[in-house]
Amino acid sequence: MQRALVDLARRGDEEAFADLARAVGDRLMAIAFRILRDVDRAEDAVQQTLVTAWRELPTLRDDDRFDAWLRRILVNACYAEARRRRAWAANVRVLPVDGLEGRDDMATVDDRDRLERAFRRLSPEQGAIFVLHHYVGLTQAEIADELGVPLGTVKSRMHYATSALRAALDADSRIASTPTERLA
Amino acid sequence: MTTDRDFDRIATAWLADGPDELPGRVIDAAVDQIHLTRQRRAVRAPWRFPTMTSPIRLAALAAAGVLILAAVAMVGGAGRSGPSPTQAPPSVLAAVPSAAVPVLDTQFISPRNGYSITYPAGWTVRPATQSWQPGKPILWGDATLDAIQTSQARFVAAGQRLATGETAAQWLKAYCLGAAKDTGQCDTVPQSWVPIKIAGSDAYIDLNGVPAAPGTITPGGKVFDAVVVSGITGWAFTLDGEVDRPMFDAFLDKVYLLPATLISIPELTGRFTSPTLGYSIGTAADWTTTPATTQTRTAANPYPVDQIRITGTDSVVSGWSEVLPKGGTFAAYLVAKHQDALAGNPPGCDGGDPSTWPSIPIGSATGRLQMWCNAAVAFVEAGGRAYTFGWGSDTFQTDQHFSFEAWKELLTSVVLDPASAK
Repeated sequence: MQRALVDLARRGDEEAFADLARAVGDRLMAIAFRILRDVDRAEDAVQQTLVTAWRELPTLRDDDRFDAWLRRILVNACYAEARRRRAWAANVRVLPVDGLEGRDDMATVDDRDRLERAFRRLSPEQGAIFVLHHYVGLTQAEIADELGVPLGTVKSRMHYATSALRAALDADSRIASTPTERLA
Repeated sequence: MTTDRDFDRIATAWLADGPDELPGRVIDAAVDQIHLTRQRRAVRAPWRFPTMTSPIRLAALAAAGVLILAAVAMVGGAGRSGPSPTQAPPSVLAAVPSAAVPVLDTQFISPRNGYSITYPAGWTVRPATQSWQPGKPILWGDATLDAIQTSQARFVAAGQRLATGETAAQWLKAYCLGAAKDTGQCDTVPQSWVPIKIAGSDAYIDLNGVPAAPGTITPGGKVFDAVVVSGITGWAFTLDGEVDRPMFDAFLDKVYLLPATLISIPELTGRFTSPTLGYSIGTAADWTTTPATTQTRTAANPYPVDQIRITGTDSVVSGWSEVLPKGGTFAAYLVAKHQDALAGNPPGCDGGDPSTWPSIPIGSATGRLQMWCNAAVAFVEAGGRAYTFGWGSDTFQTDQHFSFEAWKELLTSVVLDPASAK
C-alpha cells in the first residue's frame, strides 16, 4: 500500500502524497519530538520534512528505501530546526509527568529530569543518533548508512551521548582532577 | 553508579514517553504547501556541460588557485571594471538558456567546515585540510576550502567562528572588506546584497553571476557567492564556471549547517616549549600558557601539569611526561593510568579498556586516545618517556568547547624532545 502511494506521489499525485503523509506522520512526529524535545519544534520539523519529501520524491531511486530516506530528511530537518531555534531553548514546553511514578519500568522523575537536561546539552547530531538507536532501534551500522556518515562518527557521537547521559544519572559523581588531566 | 542494564532501561523508558501523534493541522499545512511546491525533476543522466574544448579553458585551469574569491567582483574580466559586490547585480546569464540543474544525490559532510551538502555523483571532492582564519581572504585552491568540482564547474565552501562579541553584520561586512577596493563599497552591506535563506538561516548573495576573472575554472565563466551566519558561525559558498543561478540555488537548497562540527583552530603563530617535560606545541597568540613549573603543589593540584587555556572557549589543553617505570612497558603504563583515572571520574564516562583505545597522531608519532565524556587524553611514548596530552572542558556545552577535532589537529603540532626533559 505504502509503496503504491510512494509511486503515485512520485508522479505528482498530491492526494496520494497526503495519504502517505497521514500514514507516516505519527512515526515522524514521534522521532522528531525525541530528538528536539519540544512539540512545536517537532511539528515544524515534520512539516518541513513532508514538504522536502514531496519535492525530492522523484529523485528517490529505490522505493524499498523510502522509510530510511524519509528518516534521513527528518533528521536533517531536526538539525536545522535545532540550530534555528537554539536561542529559544529556554522556552521549551515541559510535558506533564503525572502518573509516571507508579510504573516500575519508568525512570524516576529525578532520572527523567536529569536525562532531559543532559540531553538538551547534546548536539543535535549526538541526540539524533541516540534516539535512532535507543528509540527507533537501528544498529550503529544502520544509522551510519541511513545518515550517510562514517561508522566511526556514529560510534563517537553515540559514545559521547551515552557517556553524558550516564554521567547525568550518576549525579553524585563529580568532576575530579588526576595527575594527568581533569576528566569528566 | 548506573549499570549498563539500568541505563538502557531508564533511557528506553524515558524515550518511550512523549507524543506519538501528529496533529492533522500539520498534515493539512504540509499539503497546502506542497500544492505550491514543484517537484524536482528526476534527471538520471550524469550532469554534463555543453561541449567546449577551447585552449583558453585549459590555460584558465592552470591558473586556478591564485584568485581571491570575493575579489572577482571587483576585478571582473581582464581590463574592465567589474560590478561592486555591494550591488549584487542580477545574473548576467539570464539572457542565455539556463543549464539543466544536475541531480544532486550524493552527500558530502565537510570534515572541518561545519556543513553538509548534496552534490552530483561523479564530481570530484577535495575536503579542506586547514581552518579558515578570521580576517583572511579565501583563495581558490586554498586548503581551507572544500572543493567539489568537474572540469567545468566548481563548488567551494568554508566556514569559520565569529570572533568573540562579533555580530553577524560585522562578520558580513568584514567578509566584504576582505576583497573591497575601498571601504565605501561595503558601507551598506548586507542590506545591499540579495537576501536569501540557507538552511533556514538569513543569508545573502553577494556575487550574483558576475563574470569571473582569470582563476575561474572556465574562461568566460560566472561566479555566484553566498554568505550566511548562524549563531556564532559564518560560511561562504561559491559556485563558478559554466553555471547559472538555478544551479547555485539548487546547491544551496541542499546545504545543512552543522556548526558543532566546525573545526575552528586559530593560526598557530607561537610555540610553547615545556621548561621541564621535553616537548613543544603550537599556540595561538591569545592563548594563556601556564607551565607546570610555575604552579604550586597543593592538595587540589598534587601533580601540576603544563596547561594551555584556549581563549574564547571553556577548554584547557594540558601536557605532561614522565620516565616510564624501569622494566615497565608502555602498555602496562596505559593500564595503570586508566585505573588511576577510573578512581576519580564518573564511571559512566569511561571510554573502555586501553587495548581498545584508537590511535591518534601526536606530532610525527602515533599515540593512543582515551575518551571521556567531555575530555580526552592522548598518550604516546618517546625516548623512554610516556607523554600525556589532555583535552578537558569546564562544561558539557559542546558549542563552548575548543572542539575535539581541533584538539586532535593541535596535537599534530607537537614536537617530542625527550632529551630536553628535566
